[in-house]
Amino acid sequence: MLTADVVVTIALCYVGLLFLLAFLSDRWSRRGNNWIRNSPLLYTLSISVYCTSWTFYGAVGSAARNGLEFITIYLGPTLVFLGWWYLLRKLVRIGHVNRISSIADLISSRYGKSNTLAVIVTLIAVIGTTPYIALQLKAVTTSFEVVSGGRGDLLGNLSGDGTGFDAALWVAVGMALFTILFGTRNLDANEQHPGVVAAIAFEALVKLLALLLVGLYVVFSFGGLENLFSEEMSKRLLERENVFGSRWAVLTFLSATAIICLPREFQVTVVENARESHLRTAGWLFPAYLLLICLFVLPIAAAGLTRLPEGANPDMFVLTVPMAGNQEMLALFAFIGGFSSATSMVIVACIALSIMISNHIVMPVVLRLRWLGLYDSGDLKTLVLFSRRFSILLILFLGLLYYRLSAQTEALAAMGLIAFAGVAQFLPSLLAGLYWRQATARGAKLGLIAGVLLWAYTLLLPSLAEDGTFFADTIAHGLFGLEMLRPEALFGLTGFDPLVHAIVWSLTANTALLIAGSLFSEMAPLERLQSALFVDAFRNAPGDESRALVRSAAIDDLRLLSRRILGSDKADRLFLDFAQRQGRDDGVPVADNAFITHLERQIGGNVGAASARVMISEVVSGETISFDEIIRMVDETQQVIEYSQALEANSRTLHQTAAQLRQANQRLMRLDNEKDDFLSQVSHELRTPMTSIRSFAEALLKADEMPAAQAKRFMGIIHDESLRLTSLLDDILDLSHLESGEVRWQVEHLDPESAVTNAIAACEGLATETGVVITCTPSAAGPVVEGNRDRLSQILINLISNAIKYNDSPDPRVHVACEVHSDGWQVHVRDNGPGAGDVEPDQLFSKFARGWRQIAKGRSGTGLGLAISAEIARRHGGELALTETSDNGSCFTLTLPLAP
Amino acid sequence: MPRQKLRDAAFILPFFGLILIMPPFVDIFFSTRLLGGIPGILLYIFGVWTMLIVLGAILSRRLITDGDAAETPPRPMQPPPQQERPDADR
Repeated sequence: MLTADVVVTIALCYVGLLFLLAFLSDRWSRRGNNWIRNSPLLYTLSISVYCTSWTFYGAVGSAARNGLEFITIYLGPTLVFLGWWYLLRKLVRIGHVNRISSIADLISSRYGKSNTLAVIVTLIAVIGTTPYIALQLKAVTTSFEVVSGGRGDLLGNLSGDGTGFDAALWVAVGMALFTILFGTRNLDANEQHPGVVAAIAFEALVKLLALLLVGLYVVFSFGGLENLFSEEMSKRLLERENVFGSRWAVLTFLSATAIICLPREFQVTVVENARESHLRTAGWLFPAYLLLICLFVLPIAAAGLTRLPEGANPDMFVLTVPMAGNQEMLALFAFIGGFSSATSMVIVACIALSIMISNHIVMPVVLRLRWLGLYDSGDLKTLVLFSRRFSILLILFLGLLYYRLSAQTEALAAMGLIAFAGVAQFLPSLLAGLYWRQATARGAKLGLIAGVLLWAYTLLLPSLAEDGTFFADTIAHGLFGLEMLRPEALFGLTGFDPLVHAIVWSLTANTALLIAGSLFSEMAPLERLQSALFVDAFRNAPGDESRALVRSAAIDDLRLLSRRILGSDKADRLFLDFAQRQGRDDGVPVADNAFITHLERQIGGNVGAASARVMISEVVSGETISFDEIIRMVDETQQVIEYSQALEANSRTLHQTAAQLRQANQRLMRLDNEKDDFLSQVSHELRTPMTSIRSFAEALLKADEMPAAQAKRFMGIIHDESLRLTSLLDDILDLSHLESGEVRWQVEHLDPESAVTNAIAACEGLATETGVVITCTPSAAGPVVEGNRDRLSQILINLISNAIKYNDSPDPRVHVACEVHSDGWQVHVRDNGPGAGDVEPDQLFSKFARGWRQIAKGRSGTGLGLAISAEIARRHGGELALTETSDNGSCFTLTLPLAP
Repeated sequence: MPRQKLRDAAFILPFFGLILIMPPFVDIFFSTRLLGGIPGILLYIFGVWTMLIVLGAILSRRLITDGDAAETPPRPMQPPPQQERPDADR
């Protein structure tokens, strides 16, 4: 049988283990062994401080009473963590860069380091958390009584009335000791506590394991799920009126809010975060943890309802179900699991709250009330640590007090959700602070105050009044007897669940006032600066704000101040580091804007941004906040975005341009080759007649007694050659004029077939000379084209004379045929000569191109005729082509468009 | 998947989950009938939950390899590197 002695001994051993673990982790981490900070797994496990004893015992109780509803408490955080890339990552980044020490510090920093806001947030957090701590104490006490059955011999005398061991008090004392030892061991600029993180990560494993073991036991003791859930049980547990109504949605929303806004969650998720990349793991692993926690909740509830007598407390099913099956060791382990979940919550909540209280309430008081002499007494570091320790004791005392006052009522059980609703008031200011540039401190203050007042009136007050001793009249008939002001039906809003009702009113008022207040108030310069830093957290380089914040200070004053807060060692190291970065050899940094800003952040990590600002302001002089620089910072981030977009567009254009240039370059290379070709051909062609002219002329000059007949023949040759040269030069000139487009000719409407007749007539002489027969078939219709008669004749003469000249057939014939097509007028010049061979058609029409000489070999003509003809045809909008060629002849076709 | 699309997916995922666990979808799957000894609605909710976790894990991993160049250095930070601003060319 488990007795109180055994349970207490086991619990003490477990606590001893926690102390040892925290002690060792702290020591490792101070020796530079950073595995705790570097482990994303431990980070994720420490986040599960979300699952308190309210989860451990309460989830099963809630499932037994309200069915599926309990699961919303875990679905909300799941969704938030799945979206870590957007919200949590930004929070963590801001937390890192600005050395944020608590959620109060975050909100106050964002709204111009306003201490008023920090105080408001701190007070809300304390009001919301104290009952929650009381709830944990109650859970430990109740579970202790259940598991030990109130049997205690050794410890029975310790409590005054002899009814049992006062577990709540001893748990509170133990936790105070633990938190003070490991939570305020020293003042860390990052507010990180590796010992605490290691301990709560261990506790997270214990509570998960305990819940899973109880669940597995239940499933196996019933011989499988099918025996556990009968149709009847399934209906009894799950079938409720309007399961997925407004309460379902509001609970999901509230839990999603709580995972960000609860001070302890903010502490483990943002403040204790050592690396931003840990979120990558936590983003899916924490939802998986929550799923495992929820896995056996309904089976345990079903088992409790089946096995335990009617009227058994469903909140204790996790313990009583194993005990009913005589599994005492399992029950003991379950008790340790519940104990773990309670203690880890208490520890982290105390640390988070003590930081907030000491930074935002104690320090400002010390700074303002100079006559106390505390600020000037020297060592501020000890003062801060002392105020932390005092705050921890105070919080635990308040929790204990609340527990004592309300332990007999059922009010505590509802406390979890009421606390969620309280901290949910932070959400509008937090989100607006992260994403809305124009949100102002005034708006945030108005929203927070209105939200909290409405929350207190519509939710907290009725919960306090539940046993009918306080405020019963107000609940029933409204404040001052005004029905309109009934807390649970404010302004006549009836028919809703009280929680939904309170959330609707408080958050609507909160958000509305935040927006209205921001729209109708001006931002102070510092606020504007902080807003730029927070909203653009991913775009500003760290240390950016030092550009906008211009001030100066004596380096000795700064050194004195930082020694008092950070301690001599840390302060000296910081100064030395910065001096090195500034490139100074004497180890004394220059007190420039960057240094003062850096120092203010370091101090802010210890005492909160608002207090740090006050302290720094004491020693700096001539502070101005450059409005232009703030505008520029905001502008620059905008510019960076625009610039990168412009860059992208530019590089696309550049790409296209480069491709075009490459093509153009290839074309140029080809043209260059052609030109070289052309030049060498032309010089060759010019050289041949020149050579013969020169040699004959020399012969004439040297030989004095040349017979007259021979001299005459020589001169004839010279004459012929000069004629050939002239015609060659004429052709080159003509072609170059044509190609450059310089030639203008008269254009008229004409019958192209008259040009054909002219051309045939012009070639008649040549034909008769060589014995070629020219035949012609004109088209039937009288076509009209637009063009120049002489130029058209030039083409046709060229074609016909070529056909005559190159025709070596024994029975040479040239046939000219005209016809009118749908696409224009065509004339075919066909011969029965040797054909063009295997010359490429486009080479045939290019000037002096390779292959040209093969056709023109040994024959007269410049070889430019076809090129000129093709160019003329092109200029007429028509085309000249070699349409047939073979050994039996070839056919050139000229096509011209008909005149419209 | 390109980086921007991954980020968009990471943005959509929570809302996708929200739609699945909120009415009217969750109403469609409400059933206390037993399937393999488990009430139908439980199968649905835990199924959706598991799917979201798996998708979240895949996305997280992809967002890792895709890399965020601006990853902050671990705490405690050294004094932030003084960045040269291109003020001169303004």
